[in-house]
Amino acid sequence: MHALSIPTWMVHVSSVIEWILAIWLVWRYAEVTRDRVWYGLSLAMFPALLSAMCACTWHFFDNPPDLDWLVTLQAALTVLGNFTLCWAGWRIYNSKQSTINN
Amino acid sequence: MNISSRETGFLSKLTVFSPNFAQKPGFLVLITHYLLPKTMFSKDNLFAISLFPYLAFLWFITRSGRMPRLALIGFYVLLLFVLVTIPAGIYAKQAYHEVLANVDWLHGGAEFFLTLCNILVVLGFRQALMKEENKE
Repeated sequence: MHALSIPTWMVHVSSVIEWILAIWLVWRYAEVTRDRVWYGLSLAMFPALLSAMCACTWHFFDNPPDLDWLVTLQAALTVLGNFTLCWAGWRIYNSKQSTINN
Repeated sequence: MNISSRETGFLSKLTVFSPNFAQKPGFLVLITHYLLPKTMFSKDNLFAISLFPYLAFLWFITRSGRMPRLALIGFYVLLLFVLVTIPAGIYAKQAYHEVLANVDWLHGGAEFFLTLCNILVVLGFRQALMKEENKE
């Protein structure tokens, strides 16, 4: 656990907590606005959380080269997560056009 | 020791059900440790590839005009994080002969931009949520 100093751990942990909070707030926003596209965004933010868990696990074991596959998995989940975000963004973009048309 | 186990222990790592997941994660190791690095899907390439759908995401949410303002700024700050990690990673290699994650002050400093990004996204949606709740 000592590859990272306490402040660096705090930066990591707060990032993860904030991302969870962001997912939850977007979900709440979807409930209040009754707009389906925000549920989509909230779900689309999930793979990035898994990606972060991979990175933190790797750091927890002091960044061993043996567990390099965790970093590759993190990178793969980042690709997946950004594609899901892209999909959610596309839906938000389209919803704007439908609200204008109505 | 690690290198030799990596060279000889290939088949032993293929167990799906293993008592020690950290050392023998089975299929995951096969894919992420042996197959992916030998293809174009190495971790560095994957991180580079991931930027393109993210740029498309930014384009969509900017053009939609529906993203809460602070959250939109937050999602853009993530690009700043990417921009910082690239020179930080190169400097860690050149000055310390280490990966970025092993040079604590560079690692923490770069990662701070991600924390900043997430704070802005949280604040943006918190404001938007409070505004909607007051409407009702």
